[in-house]
Amino acid sequence: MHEEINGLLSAYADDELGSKQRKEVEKHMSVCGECRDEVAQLLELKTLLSSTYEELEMKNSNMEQMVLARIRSESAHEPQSSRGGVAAALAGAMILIAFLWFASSVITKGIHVGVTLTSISFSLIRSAFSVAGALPNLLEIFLVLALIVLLASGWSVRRLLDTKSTG
Amino acid sequence: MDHELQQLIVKAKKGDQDSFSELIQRYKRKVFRHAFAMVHDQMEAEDITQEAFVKAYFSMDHLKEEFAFSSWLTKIVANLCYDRIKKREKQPQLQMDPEQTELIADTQSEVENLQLKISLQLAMQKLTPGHRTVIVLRDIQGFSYQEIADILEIPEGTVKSRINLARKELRKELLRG
Repeated sequence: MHEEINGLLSAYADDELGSKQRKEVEKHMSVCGECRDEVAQLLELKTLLSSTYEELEMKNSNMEQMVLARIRSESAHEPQSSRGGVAAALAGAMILIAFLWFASSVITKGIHVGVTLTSISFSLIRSAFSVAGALPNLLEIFLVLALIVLLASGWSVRRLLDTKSTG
Repeated sequence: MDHELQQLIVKAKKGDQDSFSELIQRYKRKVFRHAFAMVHDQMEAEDITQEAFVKAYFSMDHLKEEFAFSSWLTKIVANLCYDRIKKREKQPQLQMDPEQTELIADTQSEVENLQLKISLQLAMQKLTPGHRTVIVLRDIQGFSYQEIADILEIPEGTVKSRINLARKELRKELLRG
C-alpha cells in the first residue's frame, strides 16, 4: 500500500489526481509521516524551481527588434529568390521557343534540299537508262571496250616489269 | 484567453509584424526561462528565444487554434532546446560557472538561498533532456499534465510517471551536491 501511494505523491503535489485517488492519498498520509514529509519536500522543490528560474532575465533588451529584423531579412530573401526563379524560367522558355523555331526552319530547308537532290538523282538515272536503251549493240560495244582496256592494262604491266629488271 | 491576445494572434497569422512584435513582448520571458532551464547558458538561451520567434512567425499558418498559441510556441522552444542539447552532446561539455550568476546575495540567509539555487541549476543539468523537459514544463511553465502530453505528443500516464521519476532524480542530485 505504501509503495503504491508513494508513486502517486508527485501527482498529488501537482493536484493532478482524481478525487478518489486524492482521498486515498490523504487517508494514507494521515497515518504515514514518511509520505507527509515527502509531499512537503516535493512542494518545497516546486517552489524552489519556480523561484530560481522566475528571477532570470534576458540581457538583450531589444529582442523584438532583433527578431523582426531577422524576419524582414529572411522575408526579403524569399521573394527575391522566387522572382529570380520566375525570371529564369521565363528566359529558359524563351530560349527553348527560339531554338525550336530556328531548328524547325533549318530542318524544313534541309528536307526541301534533300527532296530536290533525290529527284535530280532519279532524273539522271532515268535519262542514263533512256540513252542506253536508244543505242544499238550496246552490250557488244561495252565488251569490246572492256577487252581493249584489259589488253592495254596487261601490256602496261609487262612493260613496267621489263623496265624494272633492266634498270 | 483574452480577446486582445486572440486578435493579436489572428493579425500575426496574417503577417502583421506589429502584432507579432506585441506577442514577442508578451512571451519572450517565458520562452527565455524555458530555454535557460534547458541549456543553462545565457547567450544560448537568448539565441534559442530569438530563433523560436522567427520560426514561429514563419510557421503561423500551422497554428490551427489561436487559444493553443502558448502550447504551440512551447513545442517549438522544446524542440529547439532538444536539438541544441543533442548537438552539444557531440561537442566538449561546458560547465556553468557559479561566479557568473546574476543572482546577488547580501545577507547570510540570502547566501544560503543563492547556493541552493545554484545547486538546483547544477542538478538540473545532470538530468536527461527528457526529464528536464517535463520539470520545466510543469514547475517553471506551469502546464497541466494534459497540456504537457499534447506538447510532447505522449500519453498523459507517461507524463505522470516521467515527472515522478524526474523529481526523484533531481532530489537525488541535489542531495549528492
